[in-house]
Amino acid sequence: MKKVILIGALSLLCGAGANATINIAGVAKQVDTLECRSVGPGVQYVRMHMPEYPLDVYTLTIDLNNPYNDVNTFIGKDHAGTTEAMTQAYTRLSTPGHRTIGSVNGNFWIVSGQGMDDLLGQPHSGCMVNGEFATEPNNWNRANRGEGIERLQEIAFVMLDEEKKMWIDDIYFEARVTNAANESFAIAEINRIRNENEIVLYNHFTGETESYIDGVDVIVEPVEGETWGSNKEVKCVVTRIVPGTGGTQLEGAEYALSGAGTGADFLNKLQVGDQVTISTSIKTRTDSLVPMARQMLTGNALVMREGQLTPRNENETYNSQTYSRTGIGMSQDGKTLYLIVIDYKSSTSVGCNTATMCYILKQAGAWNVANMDAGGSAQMMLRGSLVNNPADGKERPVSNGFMIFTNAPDDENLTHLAFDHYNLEIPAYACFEPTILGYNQYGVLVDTQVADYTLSCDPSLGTVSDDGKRFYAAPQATTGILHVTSGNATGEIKVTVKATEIAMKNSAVLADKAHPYPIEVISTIGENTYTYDPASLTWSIDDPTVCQIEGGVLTGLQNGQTRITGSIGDFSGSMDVTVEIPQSPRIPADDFTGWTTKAISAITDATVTPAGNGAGTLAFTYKSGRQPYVEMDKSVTLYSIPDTIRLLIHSEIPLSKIQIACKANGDKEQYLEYEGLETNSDYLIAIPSVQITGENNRGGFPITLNYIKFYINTSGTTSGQAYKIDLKEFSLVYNGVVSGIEAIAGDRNLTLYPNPVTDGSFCLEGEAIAPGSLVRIYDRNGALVLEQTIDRPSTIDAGSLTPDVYIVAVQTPHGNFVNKIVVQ
Amino acid sequence: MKMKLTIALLACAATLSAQNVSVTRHTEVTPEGGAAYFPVLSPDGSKMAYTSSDYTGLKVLDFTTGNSQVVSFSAGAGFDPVFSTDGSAIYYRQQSTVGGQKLRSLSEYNLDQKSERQLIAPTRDLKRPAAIAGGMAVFAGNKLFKSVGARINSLYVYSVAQEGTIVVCDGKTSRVLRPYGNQVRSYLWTTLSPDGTKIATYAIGKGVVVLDLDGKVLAELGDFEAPAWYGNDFVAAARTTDDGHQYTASQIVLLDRHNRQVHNLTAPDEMGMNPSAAAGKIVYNTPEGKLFMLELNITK
Repeated sequence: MKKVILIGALSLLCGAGANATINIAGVAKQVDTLECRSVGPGVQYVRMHMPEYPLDVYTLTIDLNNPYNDVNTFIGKDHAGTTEAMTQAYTRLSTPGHRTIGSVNGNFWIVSGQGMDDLLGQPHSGCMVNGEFATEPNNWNRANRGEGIERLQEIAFVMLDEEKKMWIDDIYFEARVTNAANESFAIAEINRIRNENEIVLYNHFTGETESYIDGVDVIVEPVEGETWGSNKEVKCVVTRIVPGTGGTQLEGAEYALSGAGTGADFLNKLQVGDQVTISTSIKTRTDSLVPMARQMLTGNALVMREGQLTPRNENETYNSQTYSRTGIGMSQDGKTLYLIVIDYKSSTSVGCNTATMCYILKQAGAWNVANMDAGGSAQMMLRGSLVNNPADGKERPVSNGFMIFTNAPDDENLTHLAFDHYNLEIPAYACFEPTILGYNQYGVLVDTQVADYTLSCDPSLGTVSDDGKRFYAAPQATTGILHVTSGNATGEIKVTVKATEIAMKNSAVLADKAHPYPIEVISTIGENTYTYDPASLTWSIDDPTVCQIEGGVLTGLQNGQTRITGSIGDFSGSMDVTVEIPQSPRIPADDFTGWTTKAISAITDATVTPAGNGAGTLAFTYKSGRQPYVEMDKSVTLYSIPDTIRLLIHSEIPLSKIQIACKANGDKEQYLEYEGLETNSDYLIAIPSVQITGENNRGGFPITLNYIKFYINTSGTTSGQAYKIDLKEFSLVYNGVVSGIEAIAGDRNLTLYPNPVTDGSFCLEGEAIAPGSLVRIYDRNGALVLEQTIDRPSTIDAGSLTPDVYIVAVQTPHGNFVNKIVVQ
Repeated sequence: MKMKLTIALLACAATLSAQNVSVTRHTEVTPEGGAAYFPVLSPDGSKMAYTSSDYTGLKVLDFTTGNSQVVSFSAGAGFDPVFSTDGSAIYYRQQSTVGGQKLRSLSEYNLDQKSERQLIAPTRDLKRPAAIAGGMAVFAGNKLFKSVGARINSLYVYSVAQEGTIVVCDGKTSRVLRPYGNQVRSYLWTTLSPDGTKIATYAIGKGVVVLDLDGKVLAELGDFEAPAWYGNDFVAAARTTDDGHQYTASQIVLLDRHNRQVHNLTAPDEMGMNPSAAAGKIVYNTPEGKLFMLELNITK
């Protein structure tokens, strides 16, 4: 059973391999299938790329013969006139035994500027949810284009009937209300605005009647046993009658027949307790067939019918232009549903006309195709996330769409596994850690990342790591089957091992002693990048005194530059290595020389001067101006691989914000902003370097800081006054550099003794000590317990310190020294 | 006493880079009354001395009764106290400053009788006393003092800061050790193993080392703080890291003097420091003033 379900869902779209083509108007266009997976019972997701346009194409193919899937129209927050993000609808609509899988957008909807501001957010034309109309099918986009049969195939109504069969065609629609005397009156609209001489039907999709003219609301409820649907007559009983200008609230199963003018005249004959019949009829315009629809969406155009592209691809600009696309197609027997979304305005997809969309769907097996709302609405959602890149750059809430469900019983037991990879080509020697999908007996994807799995394969294909999680490709080109098991569930995938050049992920890296770097060796096939276990390469170092490599892990030995080369089989790659080893866990980032300034014109005399010991001062004369700021600029390359960048700022002038411009190596400039500063108090900014480089990005070093911009809060300032902003600290913190309990040796130009301190004082001596050297002693918690400036070798009185271990930081013009002392 | 928290499962996380050391129990032993620091275990592990963050005052918690008793309220009293070998008394130093000079006196407090006597009046350079059979020994100035009843041949070691030496006293004579010659300017946390055959110390620039009584280096164990003997084959210590400003991590480790293996007993972010070991237990404090006890199982 499970195998039938999974394999039965495979579509032709999934057959497009690396060199496959799709026939677009007689021209073979290359298509690369990038993803192909079963996402639910009989539901296949495919992501393709057509590089010649280029186009990113996303499809969902639903085998409607599968008893465990279901397709429903969803409407934004269950209200005609409200839009909703599909990712939210995914959560809202998922219930036990009826779990959401994915969706596409549907109808165009009413937006401002269309002259129907009272109906904003309502779907254009017909929308039916589980047999109930939210809005009536109408002729809003019908322009009687073309002649003869073309006029019968203009608009696309997308329907799913009671037999779970798709219909996509142009239709006639009629709704009527008939009283006990067999008198009837046409229902003009559903859930819109009641106008003169109309009867409009309202239900829970709006929850109230709406009109600006006088009339009457006749509230009815279906007689027990009656159900809503197209081409049905539903007997209802009048429960209350409310004259007026609309606004009658509906509750529960209540419907309202709301009439004005002749419509009101018809309804005014009714009394509470009377029975009326409400009928809706749908008939295809070309063949006069009668779909028993349960779900309905409406597109603007029927762009393919009976396997042939219609003139609608050309006679409306919306269709002929290059644009994003959402389309809905069906197979000839109506038992396969095709949903397609094509991106526009992305770097990898330029969009297309509806004809191109039709050709893609035709190759997949579509017979009839409807063009749906596009632009920023063209969106496909799977498991709560969009899979495409919408033209708005973010998700756009939509009025309605098709939501795919599984109605299989909830069951977490895995019976089948699949690799979440398609057309798997792996470079020789490369390491591949797959994503394994887990399905239950009904074909429901219950685990998108199976954690407990074991790989196996024939030795000629490659090897598997001891834990069974990773596959190492064979040294030579070959093909074979990679198997996976998890409990009783199994799966497999065909693997092609290709001979491919290797490369270093980074052409150059920084190294130190504290941050060992597992060298990132990669190879790329298509859009997939594969990694190599660096331990499997043979490494050589031009200057082995600069760095070392053990097990593929690079560590700096001493400051310098060298080049390393890794080889595996016939392939090799090289990388430059610069080793910068900080001598202290904290060093100044800059000496505050060479900074320039910028400011609004009213602020003058801005200068940056060093204040010694790694501190600096920004001084300026303030005058009020629009959005005042003062900025200090210098491209400061931060030494080595700091873990934290610290700025301690003390401002005399009120600041509303500080902006710091910095960039990781090879990346674009980014701007970090800090608020909440208090005047005349210290404000510490501690920036984890990973915030700038991102996680595990050795290539992001060195970090560069480009400017610090101070936004001035004008309240509390005095025009014409000179102000200072002190940068008391601009330092780099290296976590891996430990302050040892060692007296600083003579060759480091500074000596600290005795250690332990037993008599309440210790001596600092050495050439490094110069006028203005700053001694700070911190306790283990970082509290500054002693601060003293010395100009020459000195005795430091530590008599006030209780016995413990302390950190002594000495800032001198020749460098910074950090040591621990033990006071006894 | 409040047994606030038993972290039995921390044993999983805190052990264990080798198969022969495991934490069987990890318990908070912070006494009632607030933060406590610098714990010291009695030889049988039944009592624990502790103090405040600046060593003011000294109290002793009896684990069997859960009661604490005050030994002293004096400044510096909590710095490096020493239990007598039978645990019935505690030796501690009080600190005072006279004429700008830091002086320390030595007192003995009898925990059973709750009585106190001063053994040495305030003086300069009073070393940490050593508990020896029948009493204690301490070096003050250039003299070795012993309490009445202390056995004369008991060993005692201490380090001399400015001269970079370790002194071994046997009750009659003193021997000066310079294990690293001029390479090491000073030795810290120098203690004798319980069996009196080895010395553990922190050689500045070298880290924790184990020596024999002739000054021969038996093992260099790495850069750890506050080494304390755990039996005769292991040394408990703290592995700390800092950012040049404050401690960023500190964990209690057990160092195997034979194979130099390092067994992590606590997590680095727990900030365990100042370990004291006795009777198969280790106590330590955190910066917030919480005290914890580790009980280990070591199999060979």
